[in-house]
Amino acid sequence: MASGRVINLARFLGRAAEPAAAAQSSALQYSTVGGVAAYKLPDLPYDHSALEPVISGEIMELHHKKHHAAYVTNLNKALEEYADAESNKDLQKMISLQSAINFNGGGHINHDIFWTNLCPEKDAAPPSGELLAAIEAKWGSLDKFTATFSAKTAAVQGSGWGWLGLNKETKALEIATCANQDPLAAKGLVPLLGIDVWEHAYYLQYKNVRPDYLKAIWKVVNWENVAQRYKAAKA
Amino acid sequence: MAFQQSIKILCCVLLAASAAHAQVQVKQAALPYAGFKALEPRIDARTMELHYGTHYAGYVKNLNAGLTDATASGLKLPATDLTGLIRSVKSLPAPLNTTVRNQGGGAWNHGLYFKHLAPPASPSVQAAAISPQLKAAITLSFRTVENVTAELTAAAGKVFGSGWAWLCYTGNSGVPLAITTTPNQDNPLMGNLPGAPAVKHAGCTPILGIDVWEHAYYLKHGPKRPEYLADFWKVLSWQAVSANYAAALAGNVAAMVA
Repeated sequence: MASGRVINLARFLGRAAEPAAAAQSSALQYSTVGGVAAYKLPDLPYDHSALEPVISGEIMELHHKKHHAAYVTNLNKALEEYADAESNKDLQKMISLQSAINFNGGGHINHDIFWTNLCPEKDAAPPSGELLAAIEAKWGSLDKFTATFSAKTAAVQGSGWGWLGLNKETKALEIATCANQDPLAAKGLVPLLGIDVWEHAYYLQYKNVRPDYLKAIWKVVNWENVAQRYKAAKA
Repeated sequence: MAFQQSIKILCCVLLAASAAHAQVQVKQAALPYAGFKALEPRIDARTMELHYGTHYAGYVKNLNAGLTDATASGLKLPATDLTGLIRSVKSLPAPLNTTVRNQGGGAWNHGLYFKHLAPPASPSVQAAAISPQLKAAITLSFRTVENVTAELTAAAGKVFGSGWAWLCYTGNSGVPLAITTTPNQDNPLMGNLPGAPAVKHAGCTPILGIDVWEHAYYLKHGPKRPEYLADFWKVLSWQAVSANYAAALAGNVAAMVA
């Protein structure tokens, strides 16, 4: 896998390159060190302060360079120990490492998607075309969709995520929530748009008023990225 | 004659009905120290203000709203105090079971938490404040105070997502104390809840609780939970924990959070 920035290339490439861009933006970046995948923290597609005033630069910096980075570090550590245990045929150890791989792997997957789902307010445009049609068909209007999404996501107990996903079987859009860093894929949905509601995602700025954060974040949702993911998921 | 009988019966029925529907409402525990600044510099005043005044207050408010709705709909509650409701959460019908689990759990847990903290200069945070009774229990279960704080710190550090680490009274005279963790606002008094991972020592009585929801430390420490945990031990009142242990032995758990 080439190392480099995870950015929304569709902005710069022609329409034909969109599926490739979506595929690249959804693939985690890693290098192979001694045969074991060492995952890499992706760069943000924008400066840490670029989402202000909706999400403060302080939050973005901590969220990206501390929280997400820790998931990557701890994932790599768990995978290294897992490879060790495997070569030693230590099944008990392998089993005991599962939760660390789930937590940290899920954290890496989720945040890797999240950064691409957001963009500076000035670059954000509402959904259009097939994605908008699908949203309107399911929820009646974009406003009703965002209100439903925000309400369900605000109701997450403790730490977790709200998701817009595509049901692989029915090809229909669905709203779902997951606890902690549980990956959406476990529910048979392809992640299109995720909103992190762990307290670290908003507390410094919004304190405990999670609904205010959920109301504001729609201003920085990168619907173009969501549309790319939608197209790739339906293919 | 028949008419007077009917009136008597009617009055009795109405009285009985109103008794059954008597309002159960829960209150926040008062802080046993002088205000939000009292735990500085270990726990900052702003965190105390938000944590006590908004998070804890919110749990109590939402619980009370849920209880009001439940009794208005004619439900007879199996208990009239917070601890009783927590213990019986599994037997409650929906949606009250979820309200008691999440909001009632939040109310109980934060009551215990805020009541067993003390200013860092207070003698009650010193190990010397541990009662002989609690000391004996620690010796039996963990050998030393250093061991129990180290193990609790480790357990609190390992909680993934939101939750609590607990030192609990097990009811077992051979090993009276044990450490466990629960997610979100669950607590061991609830027992093992359907759909939730099994809780070690489910049913045990917490006497010490460490809140590791990010709101407990994020304003001061950001993501650095270990630094918060170091601060926590400097404001943990061993005197209060000793009183909690005595209350647990006496079966008066409700006193810990009131």
